Amino acid sequence: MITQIQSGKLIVISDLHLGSPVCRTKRQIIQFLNRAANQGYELCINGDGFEVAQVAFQKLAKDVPDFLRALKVLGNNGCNVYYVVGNHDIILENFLDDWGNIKIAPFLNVISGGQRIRIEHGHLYDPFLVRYPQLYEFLTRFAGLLLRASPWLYKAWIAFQNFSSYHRTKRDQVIHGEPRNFTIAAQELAQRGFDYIIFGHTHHVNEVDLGDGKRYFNPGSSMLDRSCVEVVNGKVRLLEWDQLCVKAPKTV
Amino acid sequence: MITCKPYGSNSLVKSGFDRGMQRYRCPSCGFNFTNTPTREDHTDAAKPLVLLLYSIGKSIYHWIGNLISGNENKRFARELVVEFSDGEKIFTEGDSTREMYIVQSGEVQITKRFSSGEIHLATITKGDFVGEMALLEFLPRSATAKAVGKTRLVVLQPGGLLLKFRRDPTFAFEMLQRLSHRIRHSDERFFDALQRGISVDAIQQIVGVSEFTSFQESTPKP
Repeated sequence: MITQIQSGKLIVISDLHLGSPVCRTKRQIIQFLNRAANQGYELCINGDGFEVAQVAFQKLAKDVPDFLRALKVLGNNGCNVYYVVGNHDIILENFLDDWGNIKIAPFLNVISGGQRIRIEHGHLYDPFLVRYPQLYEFLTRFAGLLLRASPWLYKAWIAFQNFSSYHRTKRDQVIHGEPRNFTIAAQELAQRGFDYIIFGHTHHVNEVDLGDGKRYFNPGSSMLDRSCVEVVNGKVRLLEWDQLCVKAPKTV
Repeated sequence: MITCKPYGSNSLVKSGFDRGMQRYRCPSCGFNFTNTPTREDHTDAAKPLVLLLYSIGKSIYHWIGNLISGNENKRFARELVVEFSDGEKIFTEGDSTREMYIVQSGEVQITKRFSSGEIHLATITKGDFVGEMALLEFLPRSATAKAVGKTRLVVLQPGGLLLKFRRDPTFAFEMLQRLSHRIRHSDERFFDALQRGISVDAIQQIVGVSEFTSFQESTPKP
């Protein structure tokens, strides 16, 4: 099982939820992957790439093949694809192994340009999931039924999270909309020698300064924002998909 | 003056009690009610006062909450960080100290004394850990650790290890992975030495006394 890697050029995306009724960006994701492949980036999908918890296998089988083909293109270009397991695809923990150019891992410690980067889905730090795992699973499946009825409920839920955490975000230095536990966990990891920490899970995009030059990133979800984290020789930054995929100007 | 609100009649009859308060019935419309003060009965001056008291109450609630949960998090999250200068000893072989260290920056050199001198076992770099054997087994240190350059270490006490695992479960995973790797590595070295026909004394020198002893203890005797 791979947990330690070295990479000079890596892109981290998170929470694609392919197969979910809310995920309507499959074509854009595939375009993004093709462009990343052309620019020689390795790819890390930071959990919840496939929506296994909420949808039937038939729906997943319809959505996934194109995506896997795009991953194959990355592989053909000599780029590795790392898949960090999340809570919606936790069943993939049974396949923690090296599948050709796709490497499935529980978390990744990346060394890039002398910097140590931790990439982890982050569901282990979700206070509700840790306290009530069965209730969480039940609510996840139930939410799947509701989302099939109206995908807009998802945006309402995210808006509610943003609203409810408004005062907390102003008071503490945390990512807007997510519980403080994630930033505390990132601080914990920073203390044991990681320079950059990348989580997913919460679908809220942002970055937080942890002090001493250490930073915590969350690339959010492709269902809401099209953001990713770029790692190039130890330099880590949060950017939009379009910023990565700007075509080089044509030379006359 | 008590009046019936729907009908406006003043001729009311008493109609029992509700939670200790007199109830009235209007004979004209049959409406039963208790004469409780309504929102309209509050004066305009009372409303800001109520809001003020509510805000003060809520602030105190948050303050107490922060005092309990915020401080608890900080208290538990704050592990001791120590700094060592170049060549300074972190622990010495045979010491009875129990702390485990995670390298935050710098490097740590692990050496072991032998009859023929001192040999270099490993160099521990940033993010790696050292001293876990003494913490897990409560045995004297099996090697000596020295700082290489200016080194910062996070100290884990025996009492805080399980709490650390709870807060950072992947640390437990990494630790087990590393220990598993070490066992496999020392086994490989041991069998390699056996295949090359090296004597047991020599194997002890190669593998290291502590690892070899633990291997012998775990191997069933014929």
